[in-house]
Amino acid sequence: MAAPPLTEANVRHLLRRTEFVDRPHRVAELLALGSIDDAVANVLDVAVTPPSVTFTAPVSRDWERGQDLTHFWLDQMAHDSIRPFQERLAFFWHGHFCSEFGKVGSSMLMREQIDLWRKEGLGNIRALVTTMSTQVAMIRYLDNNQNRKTSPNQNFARELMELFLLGVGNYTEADVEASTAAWTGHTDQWNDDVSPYRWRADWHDASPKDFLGRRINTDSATSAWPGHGPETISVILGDGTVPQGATNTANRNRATRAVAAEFLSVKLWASFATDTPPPAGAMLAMRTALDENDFAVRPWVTAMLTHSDFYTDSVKQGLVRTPVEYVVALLVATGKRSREANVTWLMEAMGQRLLFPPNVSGWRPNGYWVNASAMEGRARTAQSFFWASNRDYWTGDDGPITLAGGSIMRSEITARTPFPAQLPVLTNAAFIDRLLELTRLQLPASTVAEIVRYANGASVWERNNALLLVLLAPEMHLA
Amino acid sequence: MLDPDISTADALRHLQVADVDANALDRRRFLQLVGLGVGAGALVGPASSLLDLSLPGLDPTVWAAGPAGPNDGVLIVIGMFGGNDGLNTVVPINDQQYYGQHRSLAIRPENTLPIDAVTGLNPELTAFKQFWDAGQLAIVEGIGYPDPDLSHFNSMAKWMAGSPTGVPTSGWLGRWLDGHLGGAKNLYAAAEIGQSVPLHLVGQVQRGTAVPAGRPAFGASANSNDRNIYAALRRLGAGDPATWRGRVGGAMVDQLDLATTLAPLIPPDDQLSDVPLVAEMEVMARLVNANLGLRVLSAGWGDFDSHAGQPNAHPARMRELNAAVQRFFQVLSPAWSSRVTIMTYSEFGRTSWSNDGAGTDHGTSAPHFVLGANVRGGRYGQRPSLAGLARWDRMPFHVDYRDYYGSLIDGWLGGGASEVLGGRAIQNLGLFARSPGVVPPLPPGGSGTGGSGTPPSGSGATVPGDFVAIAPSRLCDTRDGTGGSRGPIGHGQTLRVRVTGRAGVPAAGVLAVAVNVTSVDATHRGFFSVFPSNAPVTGSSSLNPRPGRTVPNMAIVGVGPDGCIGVYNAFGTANCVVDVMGFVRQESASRLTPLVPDRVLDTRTGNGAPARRVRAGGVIDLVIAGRGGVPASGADSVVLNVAAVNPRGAGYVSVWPRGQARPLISNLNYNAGRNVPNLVVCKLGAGGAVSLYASGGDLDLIADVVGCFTASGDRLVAVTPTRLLDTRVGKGARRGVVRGGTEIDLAVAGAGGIAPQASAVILNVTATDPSSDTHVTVYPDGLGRPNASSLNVSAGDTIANLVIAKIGANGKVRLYNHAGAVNLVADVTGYFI
Repeated sequence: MAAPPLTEANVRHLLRRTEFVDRPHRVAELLALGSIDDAVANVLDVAVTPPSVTFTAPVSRDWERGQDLTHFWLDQMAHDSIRPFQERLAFFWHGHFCSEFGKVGSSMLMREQIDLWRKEGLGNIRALVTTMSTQVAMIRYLDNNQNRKTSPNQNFARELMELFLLGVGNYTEADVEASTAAWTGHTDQWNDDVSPYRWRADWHDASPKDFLGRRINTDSATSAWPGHGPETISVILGDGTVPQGATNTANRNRATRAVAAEFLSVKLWASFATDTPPPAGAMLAMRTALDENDFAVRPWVTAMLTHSDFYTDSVKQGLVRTPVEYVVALLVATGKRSREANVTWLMEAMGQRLLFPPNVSGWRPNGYWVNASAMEGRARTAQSFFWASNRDYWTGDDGPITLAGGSIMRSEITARTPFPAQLPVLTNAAFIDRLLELTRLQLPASTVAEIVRYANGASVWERNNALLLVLLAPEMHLA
Repeated sequence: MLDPDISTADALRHLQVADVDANALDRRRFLQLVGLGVGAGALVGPASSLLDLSLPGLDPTVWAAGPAGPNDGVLIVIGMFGGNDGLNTVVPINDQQYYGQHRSLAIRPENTLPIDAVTGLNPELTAFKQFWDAGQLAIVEGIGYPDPDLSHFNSMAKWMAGSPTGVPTSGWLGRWLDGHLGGAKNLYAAAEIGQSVPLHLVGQVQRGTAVPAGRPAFGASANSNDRNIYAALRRLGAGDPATWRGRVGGAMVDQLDLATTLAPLIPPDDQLSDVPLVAEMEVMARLVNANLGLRVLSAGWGDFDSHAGQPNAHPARMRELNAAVQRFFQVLSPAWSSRVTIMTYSEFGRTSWSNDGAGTDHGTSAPHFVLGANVRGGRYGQRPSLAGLARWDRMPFHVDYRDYYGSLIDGWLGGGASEVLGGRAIQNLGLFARSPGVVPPLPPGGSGTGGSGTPPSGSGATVPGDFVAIAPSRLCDTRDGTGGSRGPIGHGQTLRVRVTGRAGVPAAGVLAVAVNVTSVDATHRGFFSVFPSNAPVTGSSSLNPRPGRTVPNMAIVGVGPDGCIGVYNAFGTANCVVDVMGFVRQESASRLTPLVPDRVLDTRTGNGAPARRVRAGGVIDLVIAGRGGVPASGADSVVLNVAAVNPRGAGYVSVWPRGQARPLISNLNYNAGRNVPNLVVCKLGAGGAVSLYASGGDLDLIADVVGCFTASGDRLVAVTPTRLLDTRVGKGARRGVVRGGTEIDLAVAGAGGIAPQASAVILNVTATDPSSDTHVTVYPDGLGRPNASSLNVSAGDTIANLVIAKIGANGKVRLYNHAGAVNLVADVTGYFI
């Protein structure tokens, strides 16, 4: 396999997929390196201890604390993280191992889980899943706090296999029941927000069970042992086998470890590359990376990002920005802080809110976001950013449109200013070039030509609306 | 049903409508017929839409001319996400196993809404109970599928896909849409009320549209700069639809199209319910009313996944469902009641055994509801036995959900179920009593209360009666609260007006009334339907309100069993004034002698009054007895068609028996420069004369006598309004405009509920968008055209007028257009026999 060349096009593609946006200074930094391998290593060189949100709202207003967390995270993605891949990968895990703020009911618990994805996201999947399973966010979200020996609740145990690690058809109902029993006893305490996790040995079903071809809970003599649940993760990612009775005939008798490696790789590829399954080459590289490194994330992600399959035209043109990614792109383009742009309330209209996955299967890629009504949400979001950038255009004597730290004076936009123009009045084409320069965006010439055409038909007072068209151009919706 | 008030600018829209009686063809077959499925790329290619090509404006009535034919069924699909507890929805009140297994969650028999000895509905489902009582609720029990999957996501995918096996890449309604649309693109064939298009609306080629439950906040501004931005976005949106860039651009264009169309139809957010499903179903009803061509509307909500906390959660969901269905029927135009069916589905039921967390876990089979005016009420399928079920056992299923779907596709959506459902031999459950658009008969004892919020259950009077003219008086004026209702009629709302026991109309025995209905302060172009309060009216339009104008029309309309008539307002808001002029009763009174129209007043020529314009405040006394075929004595009252011609200001005309005090009524309202006609029924006063008063401007008045009431004439029969003629779609006559100086024949005897031996017919005739000022004359076929006009309309205007026309010996009437080119629409509201 030939390594992908370190071209500007490849570097921009890599950055758009891993850091949300191909920021010019990052393009320059990576192009100065020796190879795509070095560029990927640079992208993955994330902070060991990223900062965590400091809540500003009081404990009594938990909803606002959720807003604090959302704004903090969006700002990390757009502005504050030195390696935004840390946040991009955390966002992937958030959509894969879902919890939802509404059901969890605690900003502290959501912060704990999001911070796990942010800090340990490049660590080891086995460790991530084990920690996540006993975080109360997950215990509440998938009802394991209702799971008792005398009245089992299968929700978590089922999704652990179906949506998190294996995919449907690679286990039997008997496996779900065995795993459900193993996870009994891991519960929460509602009146304790600081350390709400509880182990209830009296709720726990410690009897040995057959699970994915293995015998689990064999140490039942020490029935108070809470390791019985996590043991199922070891079986799934270790030496389990897809049982004879499973409906997915393709995988019968295969090691669950291999099935999980493929299942997770398809999901990673869909989030970062495109929504068709990875070609055989990339799939082999990713699966092997997981298998040989005992489910460590970094080699797995590296295998994907350094593979030539990741740099084909169909992959480069094959992904639509999710609403979160679109908002991050607008934050970067306009230099606004998340709280300043204040678009979290519009994210539901686009179909995606941080902390609120629609269900435990998370968000889907591409076509999921492309429909008329979601586009209305995006148009309104772009409008909000336009207004926020334009706010002082009408009110100031010669107020600048401030974008990403630069500015355009009103006198540059309109020929009629009561003041002597500090700068010559720009032509429409020059004005739009400046907008693109200030927003650090590259748009195809045909798109720029249409925006200039709009400006040519607009009055001098209206032509600053060209910024709205820049932010809303179809290319802005592509990752 | 087409609304009469359309613009010819949407000619392309009409390409979708068959050039033959729309009753006879569904859209799918039509598209095959005209080859749109293969050769339509130039018109409806993927990067454009029909809307792009039809100059969309902000006039909602343009879109009222949708392609849904009068016999096209509309299916409303309600998803209950999370797995609904069927046992607590349709409660098996005689099953001790249920009480033993559901334990504290079980609903006691006395707390249900019992429908038979073994079944009670959840106590929240009061509207469903009403539909049951009306014989319009089907309960299909024991629905499921083989090898049930207990995962929400997989089971929902199997349900939405319409296939319990294989990778779910398309949905059952999406595949129906593939066949329905052929290769044509149409944003307005199927819609999800929500943020994204769910799998069941995604076909192999086509997909439904997502419509948010609120006003479009982008894309509907009339500001010129905003419109320039939209135009630029449309250009930016062009691109190869095989690429994601092209698909994103196409969705942007779709959004602009949708916003333009939907903005006028959807009320502001603060007027929609806070309960999402209620708001969504209100929006659904409005979209149906607007007749955009939508055949499938879908919404879903949850959470029904009551592993815990079911005692609070499940009743709340049932309450929301009930409120949403109630709201839907409050807003739905009665015109659509016989064409809409609601169905429910969920990914599975729940366990019969409750768990210890006051909840139930994922189950399998469950009952579902199908309801609507044309549904054959009853219980279908088979209730699963709970005998011997252990804690984790699930109930057996008896009806495969594909047969449930198939019964809806074949029974309501025009067929094709087997094709959609993988070639399955569908076991049709026979859920429908009538096909779409067929109005249900009056049930025995017809006890429906009629009007908004309850299922339609009957039709107007069909018994012949005699006419009693009374001193005209005002029954209702929503501007000042006369008649008890103050404030304009809302968008999609129905005003109920009590007509019996008031203003000289008897309290009982009234079959129909002659009323003049006027729209005032309308915010939108649209239409009013005037109908018997209990009737499933078939979508006729009685008059066409316009912003900035006062628009009157007379109606002869059956009276509901509650003594009321309904006035339905299709768009925006409008005040409404109702004046009564007479009523029809079974006991003997006056009977109509239909006459060939004859002009008895024309102030332009000096016929009947001096040849000079009538000034504001002027009164004309007009002798009619002995003229125009009216006997010199013995005529109790006359039917006149009065027209205001070339008024220089706005005002109204009142007509009353000469010699009496002038009443505060308006028979017709005029605005400067616009010719307006209206039918008037008036008792003859002193000297066999009536008096006419004009309140404003100065104008010419003309009046034609079209009939008189005597002791020996014909009896009046009011019928459920039915469309007989629509030249826009080729109904009742050749499709296409009627040109100046030409005539069309319309068969009326024996059509639309009119008796074959009828002597005269009462038609509401609408002239739409004439190319020049003109008048239309309706007269008996086989006789010479009289010097009279039935309807006067100014260029570009749309005017409806009630017409009483004698039927020719061949059972036809003839409609003559004087000048320009005009489309004509006629609805029958009664006849004389």
